Amino acid sequence: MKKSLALILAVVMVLCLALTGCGAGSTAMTVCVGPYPDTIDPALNSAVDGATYVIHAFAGLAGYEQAEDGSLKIVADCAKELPEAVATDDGKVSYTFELKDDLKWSDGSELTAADFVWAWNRAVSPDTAADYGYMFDVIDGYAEAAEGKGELNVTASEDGKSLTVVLNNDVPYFYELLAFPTYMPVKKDVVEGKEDWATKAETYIGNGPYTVTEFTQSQLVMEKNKNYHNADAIKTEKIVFPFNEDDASLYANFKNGAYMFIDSVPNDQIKTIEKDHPDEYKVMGQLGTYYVCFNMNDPALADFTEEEKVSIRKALGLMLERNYICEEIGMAGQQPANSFVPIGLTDADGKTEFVATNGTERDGKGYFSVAEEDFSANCEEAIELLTAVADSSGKFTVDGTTLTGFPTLTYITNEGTAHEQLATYMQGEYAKYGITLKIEVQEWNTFLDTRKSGDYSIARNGWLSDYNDPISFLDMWITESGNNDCQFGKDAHAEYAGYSYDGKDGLTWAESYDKIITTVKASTDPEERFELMHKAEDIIMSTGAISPIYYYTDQYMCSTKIDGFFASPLGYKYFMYATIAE
Amino acid sequence: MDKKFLYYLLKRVLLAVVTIFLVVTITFFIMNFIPGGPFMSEKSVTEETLAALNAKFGLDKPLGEQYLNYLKGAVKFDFGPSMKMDGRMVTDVIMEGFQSSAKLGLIAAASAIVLGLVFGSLAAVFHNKLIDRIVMVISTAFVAMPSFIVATLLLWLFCLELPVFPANGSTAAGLVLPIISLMLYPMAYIIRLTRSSMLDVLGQDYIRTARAKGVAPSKVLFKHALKNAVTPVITYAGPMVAFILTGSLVVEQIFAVPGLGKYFVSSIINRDYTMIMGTTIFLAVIVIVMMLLSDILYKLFDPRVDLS
Repeated sequence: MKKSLALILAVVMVLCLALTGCGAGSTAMTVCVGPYPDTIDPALNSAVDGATYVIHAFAGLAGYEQAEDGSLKIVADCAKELPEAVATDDGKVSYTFELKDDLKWSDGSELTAADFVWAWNRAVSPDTAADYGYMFDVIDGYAEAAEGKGELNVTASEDGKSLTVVLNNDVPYFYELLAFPTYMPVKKDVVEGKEDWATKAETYIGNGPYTVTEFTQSQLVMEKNKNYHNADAIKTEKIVFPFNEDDASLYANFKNGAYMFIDSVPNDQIKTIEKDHPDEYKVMGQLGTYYVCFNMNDPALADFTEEEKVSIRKALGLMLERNYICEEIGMAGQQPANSFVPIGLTDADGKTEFVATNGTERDGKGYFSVAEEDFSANCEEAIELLTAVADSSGKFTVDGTTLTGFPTLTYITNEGTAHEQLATYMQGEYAKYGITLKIEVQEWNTFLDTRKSGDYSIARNGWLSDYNDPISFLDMWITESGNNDCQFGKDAHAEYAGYSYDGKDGLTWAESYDKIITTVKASTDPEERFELMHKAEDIIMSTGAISPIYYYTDQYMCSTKIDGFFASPLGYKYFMYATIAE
Repeated sequence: MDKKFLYYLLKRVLLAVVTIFLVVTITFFIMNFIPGGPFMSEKSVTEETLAALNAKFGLDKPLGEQYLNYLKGAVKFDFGPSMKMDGRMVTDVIMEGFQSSAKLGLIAAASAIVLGLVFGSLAAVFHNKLIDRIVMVISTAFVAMPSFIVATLLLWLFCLELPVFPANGSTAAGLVLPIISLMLYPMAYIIRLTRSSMLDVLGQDYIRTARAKGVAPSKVLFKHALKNAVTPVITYAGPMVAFILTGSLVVEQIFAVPGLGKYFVSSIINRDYTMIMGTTIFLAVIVIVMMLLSDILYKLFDPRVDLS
């Protein structure tokens, strides 16, 4: 009896080994990029993990490829090639895209230019209410389409082989938009009128390198799409995206080999991880800035003049040692920031960095120094600024480096270890000068509400761009923007006329900043656009209301067995061209 | 007795309906009074989009009308679509998550009750002996340890140091650790309840009588003593089972189990109004059912309990 049991056990074990052996030879990878997504509908998605799923299941007119040297380039995907803009008679520009032959949806049906027209109009329509509908605002007809009173000026040819897009004016980032998930086509007859089409594998029909075969709350499984026009280039048969958002769990699953890729790591273990996994732990630049913002109409500073407020805000910004914050609080390879528009965005020529010519002198030195050795000079400058304010206002006194009678300010932040640590650090730094900073930690949604409505003194803030153009960091500060957390040009600040533009001084925010942004958006001359954008950044930085802390980084861990994987500066992860080493 | 029991049941069901109505009403208004809203995000949506979204989910109507509309739907068990997860119905999300959570929860709750009763009785029988001491030390430790510590410890120990279990709940083997994490606290608590209640019962006259009459020790223990000692455990087990079935945020996140637990928290953070209502009502119903069951169990174990 015992013998036969042992025999059965042995057979089972051998079988198990044989089966797992087979598994290792097949081309499937398990990679985790986030939790169960809110949506994977290309039009509705506005999350980074959602975008990663979308770019695997859909293909736009353009897409990303990694060049030999590791850099990313935009190449034609569904389009045969990326055409040049042609000026139209009414001063606009048009692009005509020839689609590749025999484009198909993953269910084998034919994909035509009309599908793009329908998908784009759907994304813009108020009925869809997509967060990223505004990504189409470069296209002629957007304003009417967004109100549901018209359509985008995008037309498909009769034979469905070509697509003509008319833009209000040419924008350098248009190809980039074409590779953006919101610009991906969707199939009308599976989407129209069916709210739940993107929640089930059966109806989630795409045209990308992969097709979804399973979608539950635990994982998303994609298999190679045989109908993809470039299917030959896709080597890995299957990608499993398990949903997981716990850093400790992600790291455990990566370490024991269950996941070959994880998109975040436990912050408190970064130093160990860097040491243990030098080839697998990666830190990438991301198009984003973490910053502290001040309310322009802060009641706590209401007794000071606008000029005095500027000095106070600048001084408070200068008192922070950004190198310390990056190393001890951020701990993820962040770079100290001295400008609002971050590293990674290019200038007029499309090659040099925007930050290489930033700062009021256009020397690329930013708006203050973040060099470690300059920190004490920064603090001295801060004291000088505050002493001047004390003298002119008489509201407080400065004795050496100690302030007496300075108003108490409140810093609001949302919950989160690093955010709260920064708050405590600021509190400690300011206390050295006799400045009292109260900290108020708010729950996420309440925090957003307080910050947007301008009901604060100082707040944590951060911004990540959706495309490589500085305008995405600058148009948020126009008076009417929904993201104008600093309250520029609102209430009391609306009256203040201390800005200059176009040779004129004494202009209000609406007359200066808002005008510049309008001009930038209408301009077709890259040199002019970028000079104006630098000017716009000068203005927001001159207020002291935006105090950049660091430029964001994206950190992930990727198994050395994966070859050919790349990530975009927007944080999207591209596994479609990746292969697994044996 | 039967009639009385039916009357009792009916009364409890009616009371349950009133309770749920109150839960719905209070949650609905509190939820609407906290700042923020479901369409708030770091990058704010345009005014047009916001208006379209509010219209789509009926949030542009007066609060009173929204409340009435909600009640109308809720009566038909239609909790509406999630405001945050596009295209998904609240009921579907809850049911899908509940399947995972309930599977873990049932096993964990059953194990906690059985093991708790056994070890608690053992500790009582061997009062002040070595077994009692060991059981008490262990149970005190588990009562004192929050689940995120237990779960993290188990993850580190059995997934990394001695990799015997997978670190995610996508396979059956992956469910072992989350079940243990869920089970330890209630088990330890039940051990302590059983032990003290058993000690009390074992000192009663009727136990001495039974022993004197020569009834087998195992029969004295399980039939006479345990049956009478189990009442506090039933009181505790009702709500415990309800909460364990509906999932634990911490345990499910650490072991990547696609359960219901996280929605109790994420719905509130996201101000996903329909999801907040759905999860709250769902939990309320389960708690009420479990309380009713434990009341009925009292009666079965102790005929002296007068249900009316």
